[in-house]
Amino acid sequence: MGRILLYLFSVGCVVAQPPLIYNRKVLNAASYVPQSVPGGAIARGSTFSIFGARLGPATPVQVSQFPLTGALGNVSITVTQGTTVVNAIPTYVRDSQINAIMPSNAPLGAVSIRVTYNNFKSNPMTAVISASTFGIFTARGTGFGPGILQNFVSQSVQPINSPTIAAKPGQAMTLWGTGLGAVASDVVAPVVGSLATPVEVFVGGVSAPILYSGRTPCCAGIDQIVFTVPANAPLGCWVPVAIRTAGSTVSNIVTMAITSDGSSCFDSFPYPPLVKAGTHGAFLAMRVTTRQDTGTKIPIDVNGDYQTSYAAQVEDSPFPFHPLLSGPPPGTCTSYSVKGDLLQGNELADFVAGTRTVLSSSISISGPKGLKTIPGALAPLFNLLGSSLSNLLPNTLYLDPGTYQISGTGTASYGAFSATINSPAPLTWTNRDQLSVVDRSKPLVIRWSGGSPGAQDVFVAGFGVDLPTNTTTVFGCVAPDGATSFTVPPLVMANLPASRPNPLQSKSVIYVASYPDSGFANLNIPGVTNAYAAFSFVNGKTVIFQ
Amino acid sequence: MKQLFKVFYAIGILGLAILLVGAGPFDCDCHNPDLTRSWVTCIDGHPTLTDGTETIDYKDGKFNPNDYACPKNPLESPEWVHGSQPAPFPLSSQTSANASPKGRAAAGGTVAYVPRILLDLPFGPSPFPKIGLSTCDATSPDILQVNHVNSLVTRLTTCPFAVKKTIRVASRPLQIAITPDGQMALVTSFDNAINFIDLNTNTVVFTLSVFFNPHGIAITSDGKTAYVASFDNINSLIATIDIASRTVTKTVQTNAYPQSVFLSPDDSQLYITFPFGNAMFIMDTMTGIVGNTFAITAPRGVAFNSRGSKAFITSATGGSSGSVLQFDTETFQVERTYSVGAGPTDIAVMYDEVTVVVVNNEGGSTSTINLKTGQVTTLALGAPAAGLAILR
Repeated sequence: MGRILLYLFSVGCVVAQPPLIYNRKVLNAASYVPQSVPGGAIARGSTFSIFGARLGPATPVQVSQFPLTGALGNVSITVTQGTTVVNAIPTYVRDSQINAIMPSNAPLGAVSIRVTYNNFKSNPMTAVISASTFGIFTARGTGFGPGILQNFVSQSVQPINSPTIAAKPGQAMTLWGTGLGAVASDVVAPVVGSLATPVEVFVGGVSAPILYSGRTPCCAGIDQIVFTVPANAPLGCWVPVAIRTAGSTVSNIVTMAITSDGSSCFDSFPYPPLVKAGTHGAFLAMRVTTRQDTGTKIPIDVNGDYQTSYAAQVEDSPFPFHPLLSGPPPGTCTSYSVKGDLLQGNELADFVAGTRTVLSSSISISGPKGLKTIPGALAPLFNLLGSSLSNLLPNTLYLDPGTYQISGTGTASYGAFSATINSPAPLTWTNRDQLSVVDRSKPLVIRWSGGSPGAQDVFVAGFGVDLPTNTTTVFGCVAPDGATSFTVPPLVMANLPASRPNPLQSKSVIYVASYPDSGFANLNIPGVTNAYAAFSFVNGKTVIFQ
Repeated sequence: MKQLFKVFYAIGILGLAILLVGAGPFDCDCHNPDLTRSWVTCIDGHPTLTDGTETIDYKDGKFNPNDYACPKNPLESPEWVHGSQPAPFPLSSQTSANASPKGRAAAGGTVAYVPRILLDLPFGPSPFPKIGLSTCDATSPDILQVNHVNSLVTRLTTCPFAVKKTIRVASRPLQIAITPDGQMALVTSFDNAINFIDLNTNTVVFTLSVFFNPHGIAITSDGKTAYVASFDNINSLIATIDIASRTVTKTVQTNAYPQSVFLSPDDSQLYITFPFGNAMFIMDTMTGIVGNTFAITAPRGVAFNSRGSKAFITSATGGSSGSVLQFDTETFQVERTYSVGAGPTDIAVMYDEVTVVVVNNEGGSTSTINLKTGQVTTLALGAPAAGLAILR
């Protein structure tokens, strides 16, 4: 019997390869937000993508005329909930990807999606259908970074916003996305008109007046939102833009460039390293302290001192962006929802800007606790300089406050360098220990004192990793200069996954990071366009996201 | 200085970024204390913490082997030993006050246990500094082991190692699963029964009569649903059991002799092994549709990493060695094969997410796979081995 089965499987491998939907790869076609976070549902009437293998013909087929039908290129898609079955409307099919419109009469809630290609059925894959969940298209196709927004200049001049083609306050913008909700018919040319779905647009956290929110006339399953850049919107090259529908569901957060007069934002703001084309070098030293008291019997402080250095070669792009270097303007926040565990090895798309190489074959650090010479290898990227674990481990921490001399011997490609960094005492996160349960629907206030007031930059970040679904949502905020507190708005926490009852299935943590001005140095390294050294403190605490 | 703000900010947040995205600090052997003593198996009739040299010190009489029917012949109770679910609900947390240890810690007991406090941490410094292991920690979880021949389930404390209770169940029990809250254990008995054990009282509170020779069992993370495989060539099915009402709510026909079932961490998929049929199926739990089938030689055990992004499947390929297949659960492709000892059965991913432990039944050995280096270390145990439970 076993041999027969094995034979059948072998034959099957050659003759009958059914379509395969990759696990959890039914996503909003614009945002790619994972299914397991609130913003990852597929809205009725929206365009969604299915990724997999053998899903359709090797040569892509795309719809070209109305009315659309339930089959394209011998590909059809069923959406099933119990005894209810509807057909999605494919608009683009090829072997590895399908784009389709979720019918406006699709059942709400969890459904099972199957693809049929040349009469072979795929595996079922679960998705969640919602009345509205918006995704914003992005220029880099990652679901974050510069969004597809057009600056309205005139009917005939509407360039796509980018750091070099910035908008200005008061300017009308057209944002492209999908997920505003159901329409009367998904298969005919859309009727122009705002939909009933309540829509809010936030630019740098500031609510923007909306002029239109509905289907775009050209394309079934695609929406446009026309809004005005608020007069008090923050300025910057990567101002966060988010859409909230029905008062609760938040889109992916993309960016747009805003300057006071619409000129290139790089005329007003420096071009960050690792975003601008060129070779960039970085030396970083940091102390990370994380108080862990969720799921533990007693609070445990895990402390580590780390150091890294590397060079990166970055290519030019019309939509330059680095998911973390292209940070939001001071006083604002952004967030990303992605597959993987960003706290254990997975990286955001575009995080590795260009090619990462060794900056120096050997690094020396001399400070209050003596001299350390460490290799500049990329693996491990971070060197552990010392650690402590409450009273369980001997305290070997190295990066105590003080003055540090750093130097590198260079490589065949890059010259040697040296610099002095002064590391003052870090700030104190004053309400850290009062923070335990974080209600994602309410503002989160973070307070601190000390450090280098007026001469430090402070960042607040939060991570929600849901291990069973292999999903991370992270938010990051930049505190205004001189601030001693920051309020994280619910908007950027909306897509954090709720912490699970079993704390080992979630990683929920808030970080406050400070970067003292005196811990920064410009490195002049032959062969490197620009290079910097920085010293930072990162203070974290595990929490429960509710 | 402020003119440098943006640049400074950029490099600053770079540091935060790299740190937080885990390119370094958390891409780690986060819990790197001696892992080799962290599992249990039956060797020559004795429960064993295995590090290749050390066994539980039963010989001095402190641990009375007569109390415990750890089978000498593992084929009498093959791979179906299950430890408690991971924290936060270690079984011992609810029963340790009543524990009456009969024995003492393992020989050299001061080094036999990973400190509980470390195991609870979501994050640790990386690489984890070398740490001396702690003394026996009474919060270590209990283990439940099925004895097929004697129709018993034995509850063991692991710190110290001792029998807490033997529980009689319906004849020819095979596999056991525990609800995440640690309140209930479900045991399959080949002779058409599923036993519900109240773990507060260590008694069978209900026996569900069925018709399909139940074998493998898995419980969802919400503790509401159990899936049971019928080791039968006629009534070959996967049964869905509502744990609260203790009823079979659904059955799905499969190929002959489904043996074991394993839920993906998000409970969305059920991996079903057919060692006789040389196949593994994946069933969508929402629809009950078997959508993926794979030809794998004698698959026996499946373990997932915590994220469910990888599955590790033991394959008893015959001969002097076996295999562990590393399976990408997103693309459903085997991406790597490790050669281990003969007849691999039980498998577990350790809490460091880097180490995979395999018990090789026919080979009488354990294999340890380092997923970072790909290195496989196989230790001969001197006798056939069966059962694996992580003492987390």
